[in-house]
Amino acid sequence: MYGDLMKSMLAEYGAVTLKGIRHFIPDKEPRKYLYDLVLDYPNRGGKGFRPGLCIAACKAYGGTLQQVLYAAVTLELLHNAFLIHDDIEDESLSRRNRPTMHQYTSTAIAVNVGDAMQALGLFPLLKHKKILGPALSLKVFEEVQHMVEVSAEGQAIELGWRQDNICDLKDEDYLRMILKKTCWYTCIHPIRIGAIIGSNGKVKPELFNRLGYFMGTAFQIQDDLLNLLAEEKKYGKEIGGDIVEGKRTLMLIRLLQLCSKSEKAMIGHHLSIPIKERNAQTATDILRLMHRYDCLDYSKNISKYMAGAALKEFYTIFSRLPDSKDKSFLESIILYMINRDY
Amino acid sequence: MPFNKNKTGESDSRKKAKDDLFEKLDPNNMMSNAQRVLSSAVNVLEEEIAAGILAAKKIEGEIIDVEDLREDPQDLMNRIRRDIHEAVDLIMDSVTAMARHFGSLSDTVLNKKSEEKPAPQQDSPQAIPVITASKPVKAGDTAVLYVTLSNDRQADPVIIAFRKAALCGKGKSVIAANAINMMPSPVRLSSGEEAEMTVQVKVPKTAVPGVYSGLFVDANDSGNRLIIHLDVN
Repeated sequence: MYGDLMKSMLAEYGAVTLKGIRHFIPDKEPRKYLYDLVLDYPNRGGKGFRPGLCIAACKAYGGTLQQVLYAAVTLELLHNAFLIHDDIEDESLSRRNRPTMHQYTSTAIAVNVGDAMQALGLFPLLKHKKILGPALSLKVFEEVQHMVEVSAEGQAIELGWRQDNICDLKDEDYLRMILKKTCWYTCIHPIRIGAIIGSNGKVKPELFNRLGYFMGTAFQIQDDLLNLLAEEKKYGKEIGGDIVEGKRTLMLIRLLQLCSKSEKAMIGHHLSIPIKERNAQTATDILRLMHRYDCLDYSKNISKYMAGAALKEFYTIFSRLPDSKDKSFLESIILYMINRDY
Repeated sequence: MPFNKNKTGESDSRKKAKDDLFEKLDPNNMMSNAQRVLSSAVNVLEEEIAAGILAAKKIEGEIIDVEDLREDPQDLMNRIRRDIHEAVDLIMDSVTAMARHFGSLSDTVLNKKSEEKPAPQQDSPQAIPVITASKPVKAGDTAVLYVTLSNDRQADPVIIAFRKAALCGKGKSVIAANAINMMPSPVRLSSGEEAEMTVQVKVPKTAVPGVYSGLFVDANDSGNRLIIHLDVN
């Protein structure tokens, strides 16, 4: 029931945001290696999670779609710009069932498209002045500035772990990295921005930090689990790709904490060699070890604790607001995370 | 009855299975794990937010002495206003100087045979401030411009009452004076006082696109003048 509501509203808000994105792509040259490519990732049909959260939070606080649409467009444009750069940094091969942009063009072209999307993502924010007035527009701009800054910091932490082949990580390190790399830009800021706009700047954005953090962590752990458990066609990326890429997921961190010295040496060696030279068989062996040491169930539990805590935060914050479809939609996302069975 | 007995037996075994599962889940341990993880997460969040605030304060402080500025915000505003006025004056002075230079060049060409000494230069005319709309306005829309007036004389209060004038565009196109509204008007300023005046220009729907300008002169002192400049698209 909540799954249907979640999916239909994500699709609705995703479609309206995509329409907005198309509006902001300049209709001029160079098309082939820039503006046509800008639309590639958004057109592949992502979940539309960030604009969905932002629009729903705004409407739950009494705002309108017209007021929040520009912010939703910015979030989705910046998200897709991050994805293009992320795919290059992770040397990923596929994204949403198609080759990653740098695979079918070149790294140089994909970097440039990502850069352009970041610049284009700022333009809708300038339009806010007319709709929201200067003070509120500045507030939203500050949110976006912080979002981009911390996301880059989070990405730097994880890339640093890979660069230095760090294998002794604690759960707390993971929670910090994921807060910075994912949670701010996937949940915390989309909800904060939506609520700021919807309440006309009256609500304190800090109120949503824990809710967004718990939701974002549950979301990321579940996404990482899907990378190991889902069907490739449904998931849209190569299964087990995270193990090949050496991504420091909670499952891998847990495995490195529990496995024997020889197993740790084997994993350490796998992570130390260049991605292209990594062996698929070794990745399969690591996945088997993750199962043997219950790392997947451990991570599933943590994601459920987080989703449960998010639900508590949600009720604390949103129960004072009148019932609405958007409020139910936000609740449905958390319930979906809690009851997810992969 | 055998049916009931069987049912009771099934019920017992189901209950036992549930109990086993409950035991296996180890609820106390689960709660304690959840609490540990969430508490660790909340600590991380608080630490990161605190670190972010500190870093942001440091960035703010290194370029501008914010505390110093905050001590007297009025002084800051006055400085900004003064800088803007000076910048406008500089532009106007340079335009005037260039116009004078071209004028003297053409005089030289016309009187190149004359050996007469040049006449003493008149005092440079006072620069007329140009008030321009921040962006082009569409025909049928209303443009709003803001003018800051100040009385920097030591004399008695002054009363400024600008006479509205039509804005002239290309060819015969004009925006009539009655389409212009100035608020407040007149403006009374004591010595050293400043006031902001709003100028609303309702652009007719039939206005031809182009640049429109008009000179506004104070009815009480013709030395107080300003040019309203509007770009209609």
